[in-house]
Amino acid sequence: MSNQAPLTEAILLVLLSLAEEPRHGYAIIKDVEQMTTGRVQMSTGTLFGALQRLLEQGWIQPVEEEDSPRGRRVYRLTPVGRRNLKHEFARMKDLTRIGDLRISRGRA
Amino acid sequence: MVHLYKLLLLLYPWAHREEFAEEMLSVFRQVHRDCASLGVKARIRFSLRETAGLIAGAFREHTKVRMENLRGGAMRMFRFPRWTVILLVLALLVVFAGINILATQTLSLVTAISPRWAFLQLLLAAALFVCVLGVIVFVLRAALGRTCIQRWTVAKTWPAQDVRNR
Repeated sequence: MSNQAPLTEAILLVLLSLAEEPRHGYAIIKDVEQMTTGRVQMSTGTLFGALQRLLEQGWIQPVEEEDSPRGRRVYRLTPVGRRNLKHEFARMKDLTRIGDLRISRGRA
Repeated sequence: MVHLYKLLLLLYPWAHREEFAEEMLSVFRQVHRDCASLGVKARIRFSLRETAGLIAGAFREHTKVRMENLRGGAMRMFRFPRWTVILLVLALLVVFAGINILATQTLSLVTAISPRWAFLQLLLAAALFVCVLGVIVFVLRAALGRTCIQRWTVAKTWPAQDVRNR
């Protein structure tokens, strides 16, 4: 994880959406919109680009459901994905702490 | 809008379409249905966002496929034989010689007393320039051909049949 490039906002939001519960594509778009109070409205191109990258990295996986149609696959976070998400947030928290400290110390 | 969306999906590489196109279309239909009740401005914004997202996504996927091809296959074919270095040095020498000759010709044209011969000299310089350019192109093509760079230009992405047969 330490060598991993910082995640893009789209990927981070998809991971956060799936961290709560397994979701399908449309539910992720709606959840991201709700989570960011409408600031981020993800396009399907962006969403599936992010999903593909996460699938390739093994951070998420499709939930095997027999009655689930192909156009409505449900995705869930894998243990690896959850661990990496936690690491990413630890990194961000650290960055925020340093940022706060530097900004408060700085002179205008 | 759905027809345009289907059309734009064709921009994606075949493997990606096979994996996600149906799902993408299904999600798009749902989001599109939600947008139907919104105002014109919001619908235009939605259309632009989706179009831009698809074009950017397709570009990203193609770039990814190309990079994987380069890393996986073509890089192994790359070789840089000694003759290539010699040919490139030769090309460089020809370029310098050409520049020198052209500079001399131009100088002699400027200082030419008789305007009767000026036109002839100009023609001569142009012919010389074309010859030098031809030699440079020929030598560069030969040199790059030896490095197998030409194979990159004919490198194909994964054939669709192979993916289908997997």
